Amino acid sequence: MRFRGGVAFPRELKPFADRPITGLPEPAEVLVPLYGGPGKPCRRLVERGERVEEGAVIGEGDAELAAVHATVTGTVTRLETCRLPAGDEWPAVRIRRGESAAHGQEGTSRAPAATLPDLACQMGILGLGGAAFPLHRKLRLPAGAQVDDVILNGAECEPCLSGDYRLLLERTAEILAGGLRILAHFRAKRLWVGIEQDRERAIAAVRRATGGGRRARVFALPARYPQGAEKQLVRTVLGREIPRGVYPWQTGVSVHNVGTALAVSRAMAGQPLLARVVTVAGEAVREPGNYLVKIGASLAWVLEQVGLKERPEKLLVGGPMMGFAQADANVPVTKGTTGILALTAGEWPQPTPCVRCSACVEACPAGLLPLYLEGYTLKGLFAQAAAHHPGDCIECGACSYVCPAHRPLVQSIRWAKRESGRRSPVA
Amino acid sequence: MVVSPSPHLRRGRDVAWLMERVLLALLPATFSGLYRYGPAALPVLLGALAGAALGETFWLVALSRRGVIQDRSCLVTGLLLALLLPPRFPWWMALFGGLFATGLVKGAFGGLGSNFLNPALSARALLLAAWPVAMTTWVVSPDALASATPLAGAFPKETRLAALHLPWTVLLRVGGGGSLGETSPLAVLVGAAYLLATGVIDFRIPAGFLASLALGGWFLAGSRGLGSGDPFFQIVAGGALLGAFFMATDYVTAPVTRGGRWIYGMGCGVLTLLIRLYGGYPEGVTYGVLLMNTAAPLLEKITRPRLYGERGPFHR
Repeated sequence: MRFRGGVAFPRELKPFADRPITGLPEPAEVLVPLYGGPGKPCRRLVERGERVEEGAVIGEGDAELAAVHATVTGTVTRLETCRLPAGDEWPAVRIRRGESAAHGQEGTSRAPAATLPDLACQMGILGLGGAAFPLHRKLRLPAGAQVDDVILNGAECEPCLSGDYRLLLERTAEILAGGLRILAHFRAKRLWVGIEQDRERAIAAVRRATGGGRRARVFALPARYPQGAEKQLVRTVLGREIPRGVYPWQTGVSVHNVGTALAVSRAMAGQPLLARVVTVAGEAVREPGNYLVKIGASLAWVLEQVGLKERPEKLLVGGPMMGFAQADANVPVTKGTTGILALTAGEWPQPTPCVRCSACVEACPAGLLPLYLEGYTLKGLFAQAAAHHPGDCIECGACSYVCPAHRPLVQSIRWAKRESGRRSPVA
Repeated sequence: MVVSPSPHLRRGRDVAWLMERVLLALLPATFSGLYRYGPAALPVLLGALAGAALGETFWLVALSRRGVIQDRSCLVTGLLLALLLPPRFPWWMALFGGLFATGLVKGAFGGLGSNFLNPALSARALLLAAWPVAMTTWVVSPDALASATPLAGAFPKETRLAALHLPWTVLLRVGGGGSLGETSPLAVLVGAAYLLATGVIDFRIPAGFLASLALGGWFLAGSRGLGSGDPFFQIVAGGALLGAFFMATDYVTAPVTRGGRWIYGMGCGVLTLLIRLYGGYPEGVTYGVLLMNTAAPLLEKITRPRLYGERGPFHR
């Protein structure tokens, strides 16, 4: 189906796709947040001073949260509160790298998981597309629910990022194996791999790997942002929309990032999720590219490894459209860190009056009228704003991106969302 | 380091960039008018521009708003107004029109983005009411004269539209005379093509406008009964092209929704035609577009885009 709204970025915003995934060395120290999913932290299983092996469980997984593992072998030096990239404060475990107590033994032996959700929980798999939602919660469906289509999301969720693309090129077989495992779990009928049209090499690689098989097929997506957003992806691939207020599985579809599929594949081989691919880029970075980074390594350490040309004016975790600006670089890489961007220009220009050019209306993939939402919100007319459905905004930022008046549209809509949640919304 | 909410990326366009595109797109029509009428047309051009800039500056100073004059929108208003006036129109009347456009129609309602009527068209409407004789003292283009009836120097526009039965192919090149900006429909089309190609304007408004005008013209405006009219004559004669591509597409006063734009454009065309054929005014574009301006908020209300996942008439 034709993509609705959105923006097409110039080609130069999709750089560094030719840089193979490079492993960064082991960090001397990691700060692993006890993050197993939204809501509450995982129960901590280690104490200060304790020696831990790489891959040892330090945060307990349960029905809602995925387990958290030590990502290096060493000693727990501190139990502290860290700031996650999105700004929340979260308990975390600081581990200083050291000699392994027992050489040659990897991790601790654990009972093999019976089902895929149990495995995903044990191996600490969160959705790697950026949202970091526990995979096992997406895999467990209420009785009677049936998923027919599994979509692997290979549409880079943001410009400037190329991690998904590199994974599709370099780990094709493992990604497909992970995808087929998810397919088998759901007893679903079709496995789709959605890749943007302009990523020809990845499309070719996956086509080759599937061998024209009927169970997994490549879907060439329009190269428009936000094609990587779940609802937009479902619309493009399956030609139908997920009704408002309904979960994708209720319509028989389940969407997973290609990195998540790779993590499933590795979990099947007994490997917990300890590292992820992070695109490090931005004008301030000397060696931009795609790096395999241990969870818990600090942004400052990553930037040190890849080298900085100058002091960044703005440091983003995620992409330039939805990423979070960081106040300082002592924030750990998490399972949701798709990219680290060190920019040399940070200031957003002063907004000028809205001229009603309708660029935001044309760009909105959700079908909203961002100019109305902002106009009402900034006047404090939250009831009127609520009548324009702020809750349907996916905060992709396309409206703010195209706005010639530099209006802070997304920011205003977030405000409207919060206020409409607080007051009783207008029907 | 700078901390700000997402997004952190923006397209390089700003309002001044958009206004500059419109100014550029108006240059062919402007030069065509200046070429046709010579230096005699300069006073009206400069008068309207100066008036619009003065009206804008008044509000900027009064409200201590700085920087907004840099958006060039007042120059667009001034230039559009000049193109809507007769070439030998007195400069001080044009200046008054410019002042009215940006000072009252635009500035008094909150400035850029807040006016509900198109400033240039409102000014033209005011001038038509204030100085009807001056506003309808046209200079007939020599080319048009050569290829048609040899009418004397000045004559009312309605006579021109009714009596000058030029084939539209000739009109496309030379225009029907009339306002400064109506000397060459071709020049207007060149500018319009530029605006469409750069994505500054949306095709829906001019398409609806011109299609309804042509269809209505073919159906109603013929001398041999219904369906005998020349559809192209209505488009190329008078200010229809200028109106469809440069007036009706004014961001501020047009609907922001796609459906709204179709209805709005068609409404402009129908009203223009009705005024031309059955109204007492020489040309219908001004009032056609102004009337539709007032309908824009309502059109937006009834054509709200379907939300993602919302059930609607086109839901699958």
